[in-house]
Amino acid sequence: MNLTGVSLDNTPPIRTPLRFFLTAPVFGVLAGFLLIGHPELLSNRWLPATFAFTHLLTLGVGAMVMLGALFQVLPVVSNRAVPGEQVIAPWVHQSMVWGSLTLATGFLTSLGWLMGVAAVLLASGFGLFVSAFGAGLVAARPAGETVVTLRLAALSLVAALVLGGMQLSVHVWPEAGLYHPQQTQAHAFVGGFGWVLLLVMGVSFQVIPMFHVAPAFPHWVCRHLPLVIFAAIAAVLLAGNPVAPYALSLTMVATILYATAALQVIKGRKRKLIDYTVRFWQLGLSQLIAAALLALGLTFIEGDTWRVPVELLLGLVFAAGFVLSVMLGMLQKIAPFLFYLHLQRMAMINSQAMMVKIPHMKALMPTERLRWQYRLQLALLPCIYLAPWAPLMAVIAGLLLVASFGWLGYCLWAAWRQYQEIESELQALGR
Amino acid sequence: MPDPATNDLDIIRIDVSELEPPEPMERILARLRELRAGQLLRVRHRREPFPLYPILEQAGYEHCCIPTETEAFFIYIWPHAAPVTEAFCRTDAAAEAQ
Repeated sequence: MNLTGVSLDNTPPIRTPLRFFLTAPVFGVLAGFLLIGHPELLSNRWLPATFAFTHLLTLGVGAMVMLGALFQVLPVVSNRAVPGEQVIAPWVHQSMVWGSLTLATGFLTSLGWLMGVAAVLLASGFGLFVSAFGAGLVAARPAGETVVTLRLAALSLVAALVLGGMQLSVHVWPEAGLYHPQQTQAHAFVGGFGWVLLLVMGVSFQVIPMFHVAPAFPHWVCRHLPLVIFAAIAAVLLAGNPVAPYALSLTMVATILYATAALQVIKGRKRKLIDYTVRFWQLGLSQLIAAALLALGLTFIEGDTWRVPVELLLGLVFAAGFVLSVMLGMLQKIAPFLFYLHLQRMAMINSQAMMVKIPHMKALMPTERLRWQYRLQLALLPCIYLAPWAPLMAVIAGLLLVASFGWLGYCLWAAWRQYQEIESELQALGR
Repeated sequence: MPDPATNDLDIIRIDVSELEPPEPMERILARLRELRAGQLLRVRHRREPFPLYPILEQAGYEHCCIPTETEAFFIYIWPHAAPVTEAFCRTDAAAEAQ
């Protein structure tokens, strides 16, 4: 009997999100090496190496982690699995891996056919994921604030992909005339403040109160701010002048309100233990406020002398300061939690399991390892913010990216090995 | 009218609403291992613990989650064979809320 009317076997196998999590650091290391080899790439947004670097991080790291996590998030927030996740996850993963690699290589070599291959791979990977995840989101009941915000994020992802595809068409099918220089800005804007920010918001409404025993987000933040941001982004993309600058300012004000509210929620947590995920959240949210202030500042700047460097800094603060900080913090909380959850599940159905000690989350991901991850991130940010104007800083930032993602990969791999050993012990007892 | 089959049930109460994950799950599973015949577990939680449900199902337990008006949830957990009904859980949760 199941009195709540929920489907019980909805937790995806551990390998579904893990294949994404374990791959992401490899792309981060590749991006670090690219920066070491091309320290000039952060000084100009339009260099081929800059596009390669940006997409190694946004697709290879960012989207890889986010898609992997979303396979797991939907069952937790709505008790409903992504439809067909066991079948589609390996396909989505492979499409993302090879799509990100061929796209980055295509940018570096300017080979049109390689970008065509990348477009097909990424379209099929994202298309498969968005279809299945979208179906899960539409069917999710009750449609609480997190589910609604994730729906808006998914719509923004589709918009970012369409705009990205149109820009890529100039290398593959230039006769189509789909490319317009200003669409690159729109692609980055809707990808960053639409897809990524709305996704982080939706997930944070659940995971910050849940993982950190903090109060719930204020109702007006969860219910209204995602809609305001989504509507304002749509206005920026569709309305054009003179509405666009006001809509952009509204997006940034709503972003600052969200980040401030999230910092307040974190401050209100009941147990003030040392937790590096909390510190990553605080760092990331403070950088989000800084990025939104820079974007607001941009609306007052005329002429390229100041506009170009502020745009560069804005991109770095948003990507490295906000997105990377939040992602590093979340990964190191979600991964050991999933390992623990799956081991407990195995142990509960095995009558001999009392003989096997299930490690606690902190044993799977020791605090000392997280401390080093945090230190590496703290060291990276000033270097990468100065990198557009100081090639030496760019090289150091590249080295720190390699070190940070190498460390992340080691931490995840070590926890995964520990999980596999205990899984083998439990399976041996069950035979 | 009270069900005579549920009259003798002994409710073991735990409150995990101020614990960080995965401590709520650890506490719940540890208490379940100690559960004796005629007992059921009532857990006070801040949220509905969806990841717990498949574990309970596979381990031979049934559950009933009753949300309260104070943003807390009461999750009742008992072995398959125990004569517990949703009505019993609702009555107990309502009595507890008063």
